[in-house]
Amino acid sequence: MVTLLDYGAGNIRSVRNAIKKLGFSVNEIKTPEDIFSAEKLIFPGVGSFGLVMQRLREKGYAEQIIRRIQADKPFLGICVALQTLYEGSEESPGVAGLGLIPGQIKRFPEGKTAVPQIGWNGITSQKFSPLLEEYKGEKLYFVHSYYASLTEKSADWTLATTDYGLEFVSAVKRGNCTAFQFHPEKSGEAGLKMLANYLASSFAETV
Amino acid sequence: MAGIRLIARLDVKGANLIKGIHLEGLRVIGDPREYARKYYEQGADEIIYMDCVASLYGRNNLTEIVRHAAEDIFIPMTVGGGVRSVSDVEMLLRVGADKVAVNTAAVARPELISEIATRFGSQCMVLSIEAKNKEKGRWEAYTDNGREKTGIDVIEWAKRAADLGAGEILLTSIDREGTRKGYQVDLVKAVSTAVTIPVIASGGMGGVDHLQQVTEEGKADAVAMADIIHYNRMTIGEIRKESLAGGVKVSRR
Repeated sequence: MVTLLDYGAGNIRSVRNAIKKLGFSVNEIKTPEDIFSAEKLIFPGVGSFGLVMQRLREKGYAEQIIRRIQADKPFLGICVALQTLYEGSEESPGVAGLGLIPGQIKRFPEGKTAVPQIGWNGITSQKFSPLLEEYKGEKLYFVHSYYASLTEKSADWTLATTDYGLEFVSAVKRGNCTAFQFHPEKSGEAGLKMLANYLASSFAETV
Repeated sequence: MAGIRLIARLDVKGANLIKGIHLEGLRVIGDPREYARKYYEQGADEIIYMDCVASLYGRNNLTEIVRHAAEDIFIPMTVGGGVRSVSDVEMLLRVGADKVAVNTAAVARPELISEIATRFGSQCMVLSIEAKNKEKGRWEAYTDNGREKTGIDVIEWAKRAADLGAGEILLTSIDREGTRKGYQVDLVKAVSTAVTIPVIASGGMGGVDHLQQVTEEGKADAVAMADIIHYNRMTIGEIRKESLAGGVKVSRR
């Protein structure tokens, strides 16, 4: 059973369809506590950093996400969800993120490459994750203007990096908490495999 | 680095996948859902659905097609045709679209571009431009699937739309569309050097050499194709393989 964190900011149908395609049923959040108690949680980030954080705070979800991750319960974040784990973002100055990972999310510099990055790009994994076990270097789908940078302070979180004019953090992981900047639900078979690994894994061991 | 995207473009009329020449003389090809699934399986990077009569009748037929397609296609889908308001966009995103393409309504009211970009993010807002050559180096934007003149210069319009928050430009050459004579490379180059947002070249793909030209000389970030794949002249897999062999950095695999 997987619980989808829908905070009413937009389209999460693709994630829902992908989960169904993989043969799992989807639970909804009814109270903020469901975020903590869910067996497996997927948090698809939709909208701007500021909008997502505002919704999470209004609904009382923010503190439950932090509690869940601190308790090392299975968590998978997608796109802006990865960014919300940081302290803040240039996209929404003055809005605090969840603050689990030190650092600020930055905007891709203009002029060097097209912004937003819309398209397929590879990832280079920097450590082991059961979610990336069968990953063979396929390109994955990215849509974003803002990125997490590689810093010493956040180095232990870096699961994978990607080159888009500069090298940025395209996946983070600590224990059972994983987040992807790319969209596994839009990355064809390679992405579906990562979702399937998350859904199928038992999480008996934490790494 | 990201590669060139290979995009399957499906023009839809009612319940049918259709194909025309110069956006006219529409011919029925088949069931859009089956074709979309086929292209997904062949390894397309994205799917574009365009309702070619939506603007004309002021409605959008695509909701049901997109809803079903999203159940078994796990690559990005752009949907256009008859998108008039933020609530139209919301509805399309809700049924499974990732981006919307807007032409006629944005020409009528450019602020719509900003409204969509602000509400859903620039990455959702694709400006569709239908361009027709006026004189050497100048193109005019058309609306309503190539039926109506606007008097607007394509390059100026592309720049303005990018400033207003468009995240991408789908650039269709009416002159080349359906002809298999190759993309209008000078048009694509003029637009892609005028803006920093990605440009999708559309119209005229007859072979891999065309793809190579429009990406290398035209600086297109992505190519849309229809005729060549609808009529099974080549599969997307073959196009990808040949492109890579020719040194074009297409994405995926």
